[in-house]
Amino acid sequence: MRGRLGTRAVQYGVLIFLTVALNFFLPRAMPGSPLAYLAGEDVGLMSAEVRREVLARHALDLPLGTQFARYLGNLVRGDLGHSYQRGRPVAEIIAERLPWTLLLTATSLVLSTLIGVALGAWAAWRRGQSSDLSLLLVVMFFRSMPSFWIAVILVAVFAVGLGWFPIYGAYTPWLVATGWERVLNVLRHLALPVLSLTLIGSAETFLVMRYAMLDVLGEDYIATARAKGLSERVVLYKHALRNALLPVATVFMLNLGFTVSGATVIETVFAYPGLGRLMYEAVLSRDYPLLQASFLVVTLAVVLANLLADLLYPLLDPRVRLSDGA
Amino acid sequence: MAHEGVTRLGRALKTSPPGMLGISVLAVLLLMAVLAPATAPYGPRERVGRPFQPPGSRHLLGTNDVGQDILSEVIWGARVSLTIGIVAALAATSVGTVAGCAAGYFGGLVDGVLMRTVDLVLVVPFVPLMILLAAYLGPSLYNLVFVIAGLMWARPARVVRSQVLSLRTRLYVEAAKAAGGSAPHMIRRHIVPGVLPLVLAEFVVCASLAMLIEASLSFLGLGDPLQKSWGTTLYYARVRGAFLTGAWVWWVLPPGLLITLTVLGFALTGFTLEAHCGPRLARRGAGR
Amino acid sequence: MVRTTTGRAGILLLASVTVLVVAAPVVTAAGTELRIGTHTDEGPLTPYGYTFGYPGLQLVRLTYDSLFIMDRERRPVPWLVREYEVSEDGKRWTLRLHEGIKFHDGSDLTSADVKFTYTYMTRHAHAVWQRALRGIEAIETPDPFTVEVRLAAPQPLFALRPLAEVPILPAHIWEGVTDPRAFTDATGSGPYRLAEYRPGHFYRFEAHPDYFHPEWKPAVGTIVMPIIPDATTLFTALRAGQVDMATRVVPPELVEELRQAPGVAVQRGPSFVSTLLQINAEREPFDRVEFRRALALAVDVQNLVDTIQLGYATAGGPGFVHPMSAWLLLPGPEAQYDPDRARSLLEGIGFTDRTGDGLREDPAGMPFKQTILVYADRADRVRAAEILAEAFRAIGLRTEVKAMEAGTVDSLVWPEFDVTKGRDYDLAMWGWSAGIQENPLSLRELVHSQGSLNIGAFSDPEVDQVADRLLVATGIADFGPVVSELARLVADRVPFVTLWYPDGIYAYRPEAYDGWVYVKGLGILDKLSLVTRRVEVPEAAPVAEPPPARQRGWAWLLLAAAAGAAVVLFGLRRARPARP
Repeated sequence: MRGRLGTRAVQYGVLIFLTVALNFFLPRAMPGSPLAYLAGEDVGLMSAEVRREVLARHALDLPLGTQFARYLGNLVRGDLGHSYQRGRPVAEIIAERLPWTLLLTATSLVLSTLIGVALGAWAAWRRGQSSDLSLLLVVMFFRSMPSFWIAVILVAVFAVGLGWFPIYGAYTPWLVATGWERVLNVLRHLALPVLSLTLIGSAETFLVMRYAMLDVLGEDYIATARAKGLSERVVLYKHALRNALLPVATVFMLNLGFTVSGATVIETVFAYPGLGRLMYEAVLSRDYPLLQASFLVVTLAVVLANLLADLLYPLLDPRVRLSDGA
Repeated sequence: MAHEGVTRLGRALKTSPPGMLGISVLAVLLLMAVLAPATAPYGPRERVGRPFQPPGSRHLLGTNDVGQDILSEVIWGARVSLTIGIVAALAATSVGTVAGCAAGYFGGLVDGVLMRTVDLVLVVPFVPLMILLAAYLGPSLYNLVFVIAGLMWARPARVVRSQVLSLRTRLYVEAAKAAGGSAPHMIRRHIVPGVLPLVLAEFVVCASLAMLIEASLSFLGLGDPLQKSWGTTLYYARVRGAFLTGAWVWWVLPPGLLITLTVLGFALTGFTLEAHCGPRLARRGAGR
Repeated sequence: MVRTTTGRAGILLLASVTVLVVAAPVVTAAGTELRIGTHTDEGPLTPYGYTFGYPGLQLVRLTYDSLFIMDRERRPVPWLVREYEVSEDGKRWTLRLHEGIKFHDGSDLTSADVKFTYTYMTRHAHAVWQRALRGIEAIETPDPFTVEVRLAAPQPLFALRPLAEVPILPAHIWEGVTDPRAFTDATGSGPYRLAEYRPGHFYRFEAHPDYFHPEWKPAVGTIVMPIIPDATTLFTALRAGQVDMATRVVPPELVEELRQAPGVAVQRGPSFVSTLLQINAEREPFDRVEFRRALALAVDVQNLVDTIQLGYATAGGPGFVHPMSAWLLLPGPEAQYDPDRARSLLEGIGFTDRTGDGLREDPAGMPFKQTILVYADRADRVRAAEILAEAFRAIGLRTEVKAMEAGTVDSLVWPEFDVTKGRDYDLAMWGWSAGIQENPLSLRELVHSQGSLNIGAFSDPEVDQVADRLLVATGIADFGPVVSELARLVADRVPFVTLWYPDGIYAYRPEAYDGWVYVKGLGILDKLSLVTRRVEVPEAAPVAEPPPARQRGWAWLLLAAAAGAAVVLFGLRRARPARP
């Protein structure tokens, strides 16, 4: 037992180190320079001394190896550094955006998973019938639309046409309300972005659920359960659903890790202050500290979620044992 | 054996109306792409009219912001978009399936190494990688396919693995193993048929994802705007205001609907194949 | 079966309640706020923290004041300064400040703050401010309202830069700040106070109640600036009345659309932003003036203006200087489109088509190919590059367009933003911001062989000689002739091809606020637009009414259709007999 935990710890240690290194070197390997954001707009007019001073202040004049060593040192101390573009501590910037990001992505992940599981199970149960087929078509129809397209259509119909929802932002900036009114305001801003992400996101869960269910439904024990005269509902929910959960849980946990990285396109269209847009802007401005830190957060979240998934498998399906050689 | 399988699949498709529909949609789209020089009224880059013309007899879908014929653009765009969708999805699902089966079946160190690789691939920052590769290899279709497939295989790998983990516990697999089945035999005979439906699902998801990634990259200004694809047509439509004017009907809808049509084509085909390809499933299904 | 139905009904009920609660019509808080949708997050709005010149610096100017201000014609006139004198030799400026100038925190702005700011900014690196303050020898403050500046040499543009440019910091807040980039307190003396900044979300400004200026007062009580990066969303919000002005320049294809939208007005004016075809004059064959002239002659700039900008632009003058520039005394040189002469120029320097494929080989007989680099996210420039490539092919030059991410293009054209670091490109689509046109000294940086903006390594002794005359100008009047002469030379030597100057086109809702003024070369987002010649702070006009219900008909129709489809699907399923 201890040995297995040990190997796993080593595996994850190596993985984390590799990604930290990758997150450090990949942004710096991109062509381009953060100078324009460090020195202001008229960067070309800088004198040589000013240039040296700016580079030195951000330790950009040191050899890469030294910079990396420093970065690791700071990381161990929990110091993520200052953003080049925004001049503020990176940890603060990420902490500010994270709740909005999660509100957006986690809500739609939960919704799309629920919808995907319910519809997927139902479609599998009605396998080969017209309702199965039409569900498949509807779900894939939404999946196949570019996300900005869905978003723009939703805005045109629900925000501009019907005037039900606001077009942009996470809440009304000039709103002085508190309590319920404020919650409602946030929900109203959340509705369309979440709806877009849910429409897009349901497909994968739906498909995986449907196919996994089909596989389970072919099993002998389901036939036995049916033969025993158990109601369809009991067979479906108690037996089949539970056994098909493993792939669905995998998809869910995969997506759960990525909730942290936001949804760049949807955030852009709805002007939502999430991490996706932040990271995208950080890439364009070559904001190394902000990039490193946000990639690190995503890395940790994804790895953690996958680890969690592996630990969950035996709980979902007691017969699954991991890591024993076949 | 293989021949027999193909014949059976062919028969399955022929006898199922949705399957026929799916296959014909895909066939028409592929034909359109292959025969673009013959079917498109103009060259994709030719400037043949005034910019921003609405549809008319000379230009069935009007002209774009520099006076290129949108219909021709969309027909030629099928080549790039279908290539990205099909090639990237094929590569990603096959690599993912192999990795997932191996990891799930063998477990232990194989599983550990493969799954940590998957974790690594999952968290590789996509946008910087794209910029880096475009800078050093030059912007090109093949690089795009390569990067998309290179990053996409990780998801099917994890999903397939979880299914294998579940399959391995089933009675008939346990029994076959106890009877001394060799690993390749076991994987081919029991695991692959069990994951095939799931792989089909992942393939459909990956194909749509690949085409959409290409469109999103253009949306974010990271694609190659000189490549004629459905994604770039949508990109120009968006940045040149088509969403805000009446032009969306002939400029935004056609490339968007073609992406949808392709994905639905894959979905319908997958739907039919899945019903007939897993022999175990088919047999049991019939016995219900 | 009964249970199923109740279950379903329950879910339906729950869902509809949720929708009703969340989707109740949006109540637009009818307040006094003016909502300006801005397209980029400009960071903390301190003089050291803003990101871009537009709109960032324009927002900094709302919260900070400078000693002078640029008027509508972009001429520097006194602002914090009440009156001023310049000594006979032009080396001593005596500036007398208004009395009673208050920072947002209530403390007084005095000569000590001016001296502190000018000293602080020479010591703390910033590309704009540090350079603007070069040549100041000493600053004295004989009393709280008098500043005396001694210059090493006369600076005829001193009022423009630094006086109208450098924002005055509150000394008591900035004392002891060692890393100005990491300092985010934006307290200034400007007409608006930055009351709230949510990165990536919005800025909120409040009028400064004690604004010093005897005539000009803040025009609006509250300004909210939601950050809306996507152009489609931004203009949709404007049209739907959810923002009152958009800082983003209206793209040409939307001008008519927005003009006709109810409640939306559009202002259009000249902009000093420029779009160029940059040439790497260091690389063969672009180092030959005949070759560069041939490139320029092959380009039909008016056609570009008509195709890419739909006419909403001024065709580029080959001398770079905008025809409306205050510095250009004589009419600038006109662009010429003459592909035949371009062809004969190429023939003359040995670029002929020996293989008969319609494309020229270089003098050594080797196949020739040139590449145009362009930012992938600038659709207009990508399109222009495609048209240019066509034009160059028409004179027999094989030309390829390569669109890459902006930072990547920068690293090839202008590595580390330092022209001494070399370059690796043939041709590139490029542009300079409005400021370059405004200061004749920037023109020298652009074309002088030692100039820090000379990103094509262009070198011509005659150009250098004329450009250097800008440095020794002693009065404003000296610049005009030199600039005109330089423009003529630039047109002849072609360090780059000036393609067009896009019009500044801005859209807003006049019923919300109608005080916008177009500042020449810059646009309507300016301090001058948001101060008014009144004494008390007025209430802004009430916010626009929601669009009339008539427009919503189609959306209801769509919804009904969707609902109908659902019913049909559901019904079909029901109509089938249950499975055996």
